[in-house]
Amino acid sequence: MHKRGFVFIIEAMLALAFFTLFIITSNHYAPQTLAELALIQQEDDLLRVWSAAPSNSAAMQTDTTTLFGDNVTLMVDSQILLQGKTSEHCTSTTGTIVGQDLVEQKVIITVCT
Amino acid sequence: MRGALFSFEALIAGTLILLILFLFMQTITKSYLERKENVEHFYLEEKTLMVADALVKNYNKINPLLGACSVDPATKRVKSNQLSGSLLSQAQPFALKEFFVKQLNWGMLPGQTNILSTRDSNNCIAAKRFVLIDGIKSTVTVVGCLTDA
Repeated sequence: MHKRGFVFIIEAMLALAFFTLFIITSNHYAPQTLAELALIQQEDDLLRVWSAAPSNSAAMQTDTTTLFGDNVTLMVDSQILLQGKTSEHCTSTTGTIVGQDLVEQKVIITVCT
Repeated sequence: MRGALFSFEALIAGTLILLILFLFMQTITKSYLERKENVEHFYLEEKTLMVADALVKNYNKINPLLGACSVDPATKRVKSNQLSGSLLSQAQPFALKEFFVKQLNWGMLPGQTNILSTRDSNNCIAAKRFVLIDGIKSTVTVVGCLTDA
């Protein structure tokens, strides 16, 4: 009678210990954030502003650096104007700007965090 | 003798169970607090980005904070990302349940600031957008805050 009680306590304790261990180890919570959306909006801003106010390469570089610092890669017509660092977490926006002279410029902005 | 043994075993088992329960409760509490903080931060991020996006995409005569774009009279269309400096100066305070806009900054340094609320808050974030203000390239920054509990 006494032995059966002891076995039960050990079993219950082990089960609880495993359950707690499971909860602790499985609790990898990835916080939700809108940081990526904010970056995409800013990349879109650059394309819209350059579309409304035609800019040369130097101005494009200045604008991009003003907004993103050194973490940005800017490519215009396959030519890399700015080369920033790369990482696993990058967002990229591609757009085509048509100037008043109807010349197309393909712009790719990639921001890594 | 048997009674003493039983008490000793029960004591050890009880202590361990209490320890396990403590760890369990601590994990649950920590997880709850993390999620609660994230929900609050997400709410703040969402509202601040929403106000900043409205500012650079709309025209709102009543409160230019929610739309300060210029309008093309010929096409009767809002010019996205092309703001009017005079409208920015007329921005009015804006608040939702636990959220308020503290200030609006625009122009390259030193720039201009429109303080929309004097309330203090320890939980604020800024949303920066790139725009044309009266035809000049510039940035506009919306500072959104949560009311302190």
